[in-house]
Amino acid sequence: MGKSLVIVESPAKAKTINKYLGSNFIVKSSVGHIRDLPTSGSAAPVDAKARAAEAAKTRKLSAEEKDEHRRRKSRDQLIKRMGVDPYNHWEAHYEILPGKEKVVDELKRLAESADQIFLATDLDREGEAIAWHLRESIGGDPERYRRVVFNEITKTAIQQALRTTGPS
Amino acid sequence: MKLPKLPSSRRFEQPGRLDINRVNAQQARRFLDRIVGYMVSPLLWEKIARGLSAGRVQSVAVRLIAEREAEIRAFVPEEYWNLQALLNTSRGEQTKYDVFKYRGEDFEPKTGEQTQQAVKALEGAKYKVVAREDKPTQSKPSAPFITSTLQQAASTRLGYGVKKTMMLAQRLYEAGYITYMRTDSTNLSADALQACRSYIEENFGKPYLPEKPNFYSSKEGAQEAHEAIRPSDVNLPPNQLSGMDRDAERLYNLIWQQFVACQMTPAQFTSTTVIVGAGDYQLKAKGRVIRFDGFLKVAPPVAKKDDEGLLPDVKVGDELTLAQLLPSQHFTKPPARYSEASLVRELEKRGIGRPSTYASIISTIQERGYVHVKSRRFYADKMGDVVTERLVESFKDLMDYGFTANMEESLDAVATGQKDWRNLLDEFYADFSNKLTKAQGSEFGMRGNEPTETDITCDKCGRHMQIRIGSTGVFLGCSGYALPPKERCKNTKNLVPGDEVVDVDKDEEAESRQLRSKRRCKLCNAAMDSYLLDETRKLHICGNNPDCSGFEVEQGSFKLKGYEGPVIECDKCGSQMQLKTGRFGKYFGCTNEACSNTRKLLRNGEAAPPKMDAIDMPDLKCDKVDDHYVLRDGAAGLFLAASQFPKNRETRAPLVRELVPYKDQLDPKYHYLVSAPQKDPDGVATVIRFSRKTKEHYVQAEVDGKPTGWKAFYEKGRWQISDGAKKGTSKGGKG
Repeated sequence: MGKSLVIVESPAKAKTINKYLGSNFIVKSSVGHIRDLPTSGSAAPVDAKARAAEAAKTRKLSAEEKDEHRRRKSRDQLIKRMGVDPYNHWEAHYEILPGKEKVVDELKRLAESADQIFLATDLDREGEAIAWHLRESIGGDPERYRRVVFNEITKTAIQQALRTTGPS
Repeated sequence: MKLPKLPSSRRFEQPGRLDINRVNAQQARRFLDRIVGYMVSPLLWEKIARGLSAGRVQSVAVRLIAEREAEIRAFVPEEYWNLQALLNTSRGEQTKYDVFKYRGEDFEPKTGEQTQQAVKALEGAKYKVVAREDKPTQSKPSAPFITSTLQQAASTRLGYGVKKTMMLAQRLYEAGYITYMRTDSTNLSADALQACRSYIEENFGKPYLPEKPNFYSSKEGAQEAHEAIRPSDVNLPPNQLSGMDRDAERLYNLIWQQFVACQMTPAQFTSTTVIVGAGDYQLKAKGRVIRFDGFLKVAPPVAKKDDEGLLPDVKVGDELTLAQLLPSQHFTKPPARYSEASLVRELEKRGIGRPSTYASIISTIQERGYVHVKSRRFYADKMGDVVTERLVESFKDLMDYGFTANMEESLDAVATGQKDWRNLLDEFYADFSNKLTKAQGSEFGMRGNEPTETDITCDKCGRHMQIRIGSTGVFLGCSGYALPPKERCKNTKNLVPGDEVVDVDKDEEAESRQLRSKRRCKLCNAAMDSYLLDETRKLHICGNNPDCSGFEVEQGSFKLKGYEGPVIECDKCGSQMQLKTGRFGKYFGCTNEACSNTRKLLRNGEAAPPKMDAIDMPDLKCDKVDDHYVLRDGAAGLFLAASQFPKNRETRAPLVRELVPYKDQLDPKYHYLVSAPQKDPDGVATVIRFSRKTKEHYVQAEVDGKPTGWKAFYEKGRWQISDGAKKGTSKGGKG
């Protein structure tokens, strides 16, 4: 059996879990959320040429058309800022949180050499969502991932959780 | 290595798989919050004030606080009296009795006179015991903690805020000492129950162990069968945690006690009521004596109530003698303000929010500037009132308690796979976007933030001032503000709140007393807020402003208070300078209106050094505009600025030779600059520059604004030349 990677969201939790697992487990923390809808600071740079071309197109429109165009444009901008589109099946644009690129890169690197990846984030829905974001960001074969849940971080609870979710 | 297969965990149909339904429930929550925040906030900027924000759950929580605030200001405290009597037995034992009946009716005096009548009658009365009842009572332990009850207990017993409690609980959980801290279930695992029962039997003995384990029912709809918050190992006593600070230890102690107590037997008491007759009056005393401590052995009660303690052994027919009568005046109390923990309990009761969101709701509402916490109680700010009301008018569903609770249930249904998350979002959005479009309209849209007219005259232009509500608070603004630019008057006056915050933890009736001290609005009878206008005028504004236009100006002599920050002496005029907050952060501003001196607040918390007065240089014409320069001293050293700045936006660094004619006006600390070389060896004029790194001036030769590399620094009382141009390779010989 090769190495297994266990990912949790907090360094303190990683430390406690690490005490209970053998040397064939690497426990790493994502230090909170890694991916979310865009934050205000993460806007893409504006391309001046594209903007000028856009402006040239609208110049010849009638007043009503201009109005309509302005409305649509502000709606599109809002959707872009929100990162989620209510008019398009709630398509979401998730981004790696600013400053988290390094963490994600390291997790990816460790995941490459691991046989199995245990997502051991907290047991509530938020934890479930963090686990999903981790799987989506790290990528690779979904069969390598196992979700583990426990209600307390004790030796028995951890070992039992890993056992019940182990390879079946 | 082959591991034995164990039965799959209770909850998961597919152990080891991510539960995409729960992920979608979380995504749906995130999207709902984002849609509301990003789409409603701009509407508030347009209609009410810039910088405001709305939130799906936060706005509903603020509504609870704003409504409580409205109930409090509508409340008129009423006077009532209590009469107590200290009575002695023949053996000299003294007990306090309440006078509770008069001729068979409840004795509830409203005035001091009514009470005095009773006092007179009772002073000469004979006191005889007419009834005594002793009955066994018991008190059961409460359920083990869930998130909301833990927050409540930590608040009342340890004085922790919700945020602190959750942070400490998370630390305990992550170190392996307690179970997961976000839960609304009081379930206990079979292992934990067994361990707890063994602990009780071994440490306290059989009488403390109930025959069967105690079960506590969870609230209906508790999220996804978790466990209660309990110690991971009941055998680990509170003082033996390693690597935890004192605050975390105390929280663990609370959790440990609650858990052990919840599996112990009830405490047994004998409760006694004694009734004494005295003429037309009847008096009553209650007492309670403990017979068996039960669970109280591990969880001692917090505070002794009045009815606790031993009553003397009196029998029916015994005569008592009066030692003292104790009349006391009281006022009825308005509904209590929410504390952080009691707001969480209210949210939970109404089904709004979930264990994982309580803490963030509580901190978000305080950050948004709609409510604030003083003496551990919530107060609604004026802007909180206004925004809440506007949102309720335009977004009835969104702001409805029931609707918000239903949304939580729908999200629960998504998590269990009974509802499709995109359908839920679509349903919500269809109605929401309709309401939003309507609210954006000018005709039936959201009401704006209209000022209230007053008859206070503007000291700048003589027009009337108006009461205005901004995101920073209530202020007076001139009614000439909306006029065309030429006639416009932008005068504003700060209003210093004159009401002090009361501490209900120290004095239960403080809120009633404060309400009584406030003026009542002549139009709607609500309590009015008072603000100091200046030393001679106090402004009372109806608490229901802006919906009620009531206000009153009180003349008198008032001491301006309300400022408790640091004060420094103004280096220009000798008045006091106070700490203020402006567009560019904190600064000291002179309180003398004629003096406009300011000093920046530096990072180290001290005021920036006094600024030099600008030196007028009438002979030095500007390069680009028809104006002359003045020499100023700024954060980045000496510089020349057009005398009409900011109308003429021209600044540049001064040449050394330009400073020479003004040496006499220059602060002596800068005289060394005049002695700097005016030219470099090539005859290029030298410019005075300032190094932000060393915070010192130096001079350098510049050609067309570009340094030649020739610099001079003032060190040890003389100018030291450093000629980068000669040593450098690229720019040598230029000029």
